Amino acid sequence: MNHFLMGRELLLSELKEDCLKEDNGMTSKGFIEVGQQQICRRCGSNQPKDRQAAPCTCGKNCFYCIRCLQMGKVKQCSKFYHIPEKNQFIPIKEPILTWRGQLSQQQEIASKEIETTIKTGQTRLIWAVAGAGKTEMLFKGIEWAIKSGKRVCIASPRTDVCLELAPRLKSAFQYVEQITLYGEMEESYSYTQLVIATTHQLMRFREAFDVLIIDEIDAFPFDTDKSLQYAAQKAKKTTGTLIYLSATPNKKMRQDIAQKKLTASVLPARYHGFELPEPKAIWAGDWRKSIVKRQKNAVIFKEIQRLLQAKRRFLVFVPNIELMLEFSSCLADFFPDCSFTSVSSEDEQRKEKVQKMRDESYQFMLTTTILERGVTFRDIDVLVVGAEDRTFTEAALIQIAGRVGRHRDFPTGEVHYLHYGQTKALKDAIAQIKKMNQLARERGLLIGK
Amino acid sequence: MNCLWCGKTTKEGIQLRELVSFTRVEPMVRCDSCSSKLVSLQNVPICRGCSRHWIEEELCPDCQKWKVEYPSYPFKHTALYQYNTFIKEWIEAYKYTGDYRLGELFKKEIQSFFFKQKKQVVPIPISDKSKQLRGFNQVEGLLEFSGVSYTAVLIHCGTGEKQSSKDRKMRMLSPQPFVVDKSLQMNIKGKHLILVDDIYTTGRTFFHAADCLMRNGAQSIETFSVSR
Repeated sequence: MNHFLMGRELLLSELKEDCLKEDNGMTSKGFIEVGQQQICRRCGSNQPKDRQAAPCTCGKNCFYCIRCLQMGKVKQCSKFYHIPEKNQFIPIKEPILTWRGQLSQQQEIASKEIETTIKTGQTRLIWAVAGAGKTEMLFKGIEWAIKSGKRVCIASPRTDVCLELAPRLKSAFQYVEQITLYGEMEESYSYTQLVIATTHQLMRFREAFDVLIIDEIDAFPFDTDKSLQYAAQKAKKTTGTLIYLSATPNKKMRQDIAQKKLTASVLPARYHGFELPEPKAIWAGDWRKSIVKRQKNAVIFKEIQRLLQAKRRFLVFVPNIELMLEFSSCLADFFPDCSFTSVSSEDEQRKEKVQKMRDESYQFMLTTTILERGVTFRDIDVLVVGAEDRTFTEAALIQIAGRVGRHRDFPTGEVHYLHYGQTKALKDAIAQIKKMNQLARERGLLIGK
Repeated sequence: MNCLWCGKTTKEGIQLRELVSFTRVEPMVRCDSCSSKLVSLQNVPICRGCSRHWIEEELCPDCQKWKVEYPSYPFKHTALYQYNTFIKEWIEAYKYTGDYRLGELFKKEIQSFFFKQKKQVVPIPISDKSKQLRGFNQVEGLLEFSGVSYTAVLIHCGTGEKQSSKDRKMRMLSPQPFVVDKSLQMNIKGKHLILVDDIYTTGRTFFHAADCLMRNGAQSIETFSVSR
């Protein structure tokens, strides 16, 4: 049986040589025709603007999909190859779960709820604040699924999240074969019961997973890219379980919860039992002008000076790269003895710089929203300069605040939103964090303050 | 306009000269930022044989080696841009990923090179295997987007092993992959031809193609590529 293709849907160019010899697969055309509509079979786009006409060897008026072109060209005349998932896994010796940690009270409850969801093949959102310990509460459910011979996938829109998850899962399930799929991977694909993948890679699957868990569903680009949402639906079996994880579900999801269209587990407390640091909104006046005119007495510079004097380490979030660089040169003049750096998506040394910040080689770091999630520093404070800017959405501000106080030994810290007029997003973010703390208190989940 | 390469939107101004002369203003294809990543070979000292950056009057060492094998060859190549990361990424996206739209990226430069060109244009063909994979011949794509008419007299009858997957030594040893389409042979007899490819790397492909055309009665041959 051809395991390479099982549960996947691939183009001819993606197949291994020997795949075609065993003629037991199914084939289908590159585009699905529904009336006048043409739908890309891989990414689900039906938009005329996503299709490009081009000459082709097939001779007809051929076109291809621009939407998912990065994954290889899907032409109208392309053929997709697919073998239905048959869950052919070798039984694994016990114990399947080799993790020996202890769950907190609320993790325990969520863990049970996840297990039930998996057993009954339903959909559930795990709404857990940053630092709640989401990964650990998945373990029990995954263990049951693996034991029952089900195929499990944990996906995230972000490659770095996948790469961080992989070793944690490997050590929790030492005897379970797993593979991590992402754009620039060097290892070649192999058929495994446990799969970790970016949401882009889900496009290459069809009805493969009995359990699909998607972490950071509100993160870019999953939040706005319909083709990824289509891919997720396609990658799971029709009877499969879908579990969403998020610290900041969008409005649509929150409405669905309120209207009971979506089942959710809400986890308002952090694993260490300390409350979330509540951000303070501080008026910073025309901070852009303060940067351009280099006004050393302006609020933004005083805030930085205050943290430096207190010998704190901290992150400074700025709305965009240009501003960050300008601000950075300004700070280099004002605080010449201070070691700091700046990092953005366009920075090739991003990884190294973040590591150096973790190693405490810098006193502070300027950054754009790229560090809003997925990164943990031991003991830091956070400043958001220009918190009223539209790049700082409610979700972004909550995630940013979630960088503070994550470590058990350093569970507190300061979050300051420096603004030139409060936006709705800013007020909502603070309200949301307060609400979560309130909820945690009511449930008796807080041990300290 | 939206840049064909990076997708960013930029505003285009109309110059007074264009306004008063009533010339048709062609929309830009690339943004300035992308164009600045290209290294032009138009106004720098180059080897007249292969168009690479070269200061001396004599042919570059590569061309001199070719001269030994092809003593009667005229050695006249024009390339638009130096091979660099930008070109590499373009080739990757246009040729290998097969994004046909990107054949327009050098439209203006190609148009101005072939403007009032009387010589017959011959694109380098690709193997059937490559054509199946890409769906189109990338050189013909470049010419089509630029509105340059051409005669596809050459046929690729090789195995379709990509030159780019071989090292230099293997490339130099590769056998003649081209033949002339007999039904079109009359179109080249005694004609002056320009051979076109997307990229000049070792020159192996061009020399094979030129050799094949000369043997079939072409009068003279010069060559053109987007990149060197």
